Amino acid sequence: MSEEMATITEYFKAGRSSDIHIKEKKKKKVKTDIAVEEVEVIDASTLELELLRGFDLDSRFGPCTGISRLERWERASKYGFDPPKEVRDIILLHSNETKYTESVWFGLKI
Amino acid sequence: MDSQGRFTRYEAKFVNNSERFLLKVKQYKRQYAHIYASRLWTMRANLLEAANSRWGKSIKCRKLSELLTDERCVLIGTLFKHMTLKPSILKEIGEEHNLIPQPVRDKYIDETDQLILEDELQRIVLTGNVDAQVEVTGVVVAVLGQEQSSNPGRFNVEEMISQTVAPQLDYPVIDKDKYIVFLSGLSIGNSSTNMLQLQLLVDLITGQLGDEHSQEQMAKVVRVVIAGNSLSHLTKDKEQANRAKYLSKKITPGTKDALMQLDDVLLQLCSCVEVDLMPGEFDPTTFMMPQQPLHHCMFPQASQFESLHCVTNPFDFSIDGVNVLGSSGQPVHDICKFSKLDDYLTILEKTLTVGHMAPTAPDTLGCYPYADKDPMLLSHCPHIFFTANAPRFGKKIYKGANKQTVLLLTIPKFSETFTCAIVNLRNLDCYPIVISGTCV
Repeated sequence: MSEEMATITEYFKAGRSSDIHIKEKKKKKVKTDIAVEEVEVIDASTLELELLRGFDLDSRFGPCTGISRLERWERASKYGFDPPKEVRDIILLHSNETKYTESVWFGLKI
Repeated sequence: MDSQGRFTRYEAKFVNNSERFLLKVKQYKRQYAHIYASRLWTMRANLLEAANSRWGKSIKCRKLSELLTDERCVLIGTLFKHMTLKPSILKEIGEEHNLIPQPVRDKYIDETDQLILEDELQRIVLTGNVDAQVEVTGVVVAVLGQEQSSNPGRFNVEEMISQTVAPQLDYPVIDKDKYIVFLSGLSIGNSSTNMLQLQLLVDLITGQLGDEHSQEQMAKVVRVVIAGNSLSHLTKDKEQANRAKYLSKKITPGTKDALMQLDDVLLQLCSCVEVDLMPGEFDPTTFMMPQQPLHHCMFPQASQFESLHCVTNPFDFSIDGVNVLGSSGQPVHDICKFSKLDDYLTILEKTLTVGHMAPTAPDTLGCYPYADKDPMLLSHCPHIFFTANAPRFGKKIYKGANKQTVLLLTIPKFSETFTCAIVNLRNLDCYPIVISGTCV
């Protein structure tokens, strides 16, 4: 024949018949796990922490390590960069927790 | 002269403006990026204005991240001088196995030194009309030029400018001749220092030397500023500092006797004139700039007088409305080591025109890691700008573009030159007083 014969493995993946059964079982397990995750609620604190993280990583306000978030906000405000006021409010509300008052790099040995 | 044949010393109104150099909270865990950021932000506006007035508003000022090839534009950033001979902790550690120490040199310059401009996020190598030998790291500048497509990654500079000198308050009208005596480098504690000259100077200022005319002149001295290095470098015994405490129990540190001698000198001066004592490189205080005042407990006799003021280095004050600013010489000496400039007066003028007292801090000069400010920036232009512990006496009147007039003054080391400087506040006349123990 002039044209090449297509092989069956192009259409059906090669593998042992026992493996196919195992894969099906795994697929079933994965489906149930995803179902559990979808129920999870995104609460306000996650959003707040995301906002603070964004403030930390914003290069307009200068370096963020070695300085508390409030100090950095005050500094940015002093130099006229107009940092978002919500960030300051969040920091002041949670002034006891280092997760809010210090930058993302706090405590890590850099 | 009053009826009993006594001269009364003149008084002058003194205001200490060095609040910004005092460290309230000491936090050393920070890196130096914050100082550089503050420095750049503070100077950017002024530099933009200077660039617009010099090159016109039509030429765009770009950040390095927005740089386009073959576009003539203005960049504003901090200079970094890449120096091969600069002492580096990494080289020290890397060469540990070969035990080759880096030699201490007078100057760390080399022909291959390169200038790099850094802004908030990026850096670029400068080529063209720039002389790396006269520039130092830490100066904030504006450069006009372009990144040529034939030479990518490098910025070809046509012209480089620094900020316009800050405005100066009007010079006050003082009706009488009032003098300030500037003194530095007493180097007490060195056994080879001859104390005769210092004693003669103290006697002169306190009016116990000379005839009526010189006493009358000296009564017009309102203040004495001792600008650093009152103790000799020999009092800092590094070997002893590294020895175990139990081995050096019986040995008294060199600073103890030296401080007692200094206390005696200060006692004589403080009893009749206001004295400002600034710390210097070899004095027992903090190493990093700005150096904190010497503690008054070191001068048990002299500190009983209110006329002894232990102040910071750099020192900013105003006397009868005349603004005086200066340092004990470490910034200027550091620039001297890292550029080919030798004359202290030229370097002092350079620090005035670039707008920063110590641009090499924190790179090669120890500096406290500030978070939100850089206190050694010149926010206003002083009337008298001095540096101390210079090799010789020098003075120059600097005239700025906005009618600023500054007396630039280099105060020599007293232990070597036996010279001090005396400035007339009424008209900024300045001349050296040389105390010589031998007949000329």
